[in-house]
Amino acid sequence: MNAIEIKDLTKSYSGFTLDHLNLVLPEGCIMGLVGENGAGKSTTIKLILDMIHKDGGSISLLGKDNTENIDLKEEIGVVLDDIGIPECLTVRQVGQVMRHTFKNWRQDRYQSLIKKMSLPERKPFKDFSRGMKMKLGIVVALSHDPRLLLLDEPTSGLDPIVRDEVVEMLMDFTREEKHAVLISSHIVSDLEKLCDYVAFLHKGKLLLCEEKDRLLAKYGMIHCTEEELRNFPPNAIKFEKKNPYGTQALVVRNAMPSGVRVSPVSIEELFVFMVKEAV
Amino acid sequence: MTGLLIKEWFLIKKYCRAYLLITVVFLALSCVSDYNLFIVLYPCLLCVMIPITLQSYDERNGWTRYSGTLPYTKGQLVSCKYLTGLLTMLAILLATGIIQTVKMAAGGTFNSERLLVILFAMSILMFFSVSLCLPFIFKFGTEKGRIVYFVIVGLFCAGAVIVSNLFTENPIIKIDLNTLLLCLFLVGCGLYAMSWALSITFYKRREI
Repeated sequence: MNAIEIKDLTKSYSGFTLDHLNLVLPEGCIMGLVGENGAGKSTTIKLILDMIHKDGGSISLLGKDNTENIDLKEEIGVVLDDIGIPECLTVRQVGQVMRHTFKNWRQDRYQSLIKKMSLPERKPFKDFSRGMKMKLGIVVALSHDPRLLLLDEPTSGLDPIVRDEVVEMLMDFTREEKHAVLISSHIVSDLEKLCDYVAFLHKGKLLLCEEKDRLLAKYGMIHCTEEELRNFPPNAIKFEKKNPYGTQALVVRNAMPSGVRVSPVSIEELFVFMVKEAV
Repeated sequence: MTGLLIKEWFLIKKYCRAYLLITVVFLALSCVSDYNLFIVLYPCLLCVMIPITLQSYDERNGWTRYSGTLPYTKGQLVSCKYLTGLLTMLAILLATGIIQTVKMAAGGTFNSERLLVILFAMSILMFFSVSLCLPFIFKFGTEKGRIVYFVIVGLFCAGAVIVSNLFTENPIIKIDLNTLLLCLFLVGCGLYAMSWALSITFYKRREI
């Protein structure tokens, strides 16, 4: 079963259109939704959660229409970029509220994760650092046995240590076969560590949605002179960038002549190249 | 919806202490004053202030958005504020009822009709103020909603003055005070129910 299935999703605001988005996230997988600020990542997540009304298309979550039943949200853990937990609440009070919110709330898991993350139980949320706030958001999202996690920019503004801890928590979650994660971020390096699939969004349009390993196997990077570049088959060159030291080009590995040294490309480089090509 | 009400309780405990203090002061003043209507009715305004304050904190904390990710319908999110209004109303009525009864009994002037008139007048004020305010808050958000509320309350008060003048100046239109209070109480109950339903409709249409 697919955890998320989006078909022809559209949503228009003045100055922005999410344009016929098609996306499939199979169960057991992690998808990274990559895009610059304003690309449509948060809009997509809000539409998935039926927090805003779509203009067209359909969204199915865990095999059900996303507008069908509020109980569907019992199976989804969500972390928003600004978390949204009331500032005066302590960890203990958040636990009390959520215990009466989710039918599947697991207080034992909540408490053990709070301990694991070393979160103070009596401090109000407003006195938490950005990293602690995000950790609490993720702990809440994980404490009601969700099958799907939706994370909107969970690592932005976090220091590398906390980012690593967050990535670790998410990896733990995906050890279960039926769990799936959709994570949006513009910090591509974090997604590279985590994701099975990557989707590039740019100005409301989906540039690509592909398995990460397949993408990395398909594309590569070469550094050469402009003259050397002209000798390669044109269909192999996806994008080129000139600098004072030569030319850097994104190439399709299979189309390159044998013997040419093609270096691996990172998801971040790939994204930057594709966005520039799309401009 | 228990989770939402628990959350509201935590917020009330933290942010609405000043309102509690004001209520206690006015209740105490009503014990010593000689049936000053302003002092008796003033705590009723808290009924509208508490749900607005809570909604305002929800918007500021990002809870409005976050609650959209939780297994609550928009109807439940709206209902929570109306229930909070009702519970506040009940608490104020109960406290006033007890204090006025003790005051009357101590002075040897216990009068159940007078007590009921006070409680009915308070209920009417509370029903009308909450009913008129909350739909605008759910339609426009707390900032814009508050402005619209003040405009509507202004128009409502002007209307009330005109109607009361009609009653005093026209001897043909005569109505017993108790009947008037009962009618207004029933209208208030109906208005509260209508306002509740209207707020749910507004909030369902609103994108969070």
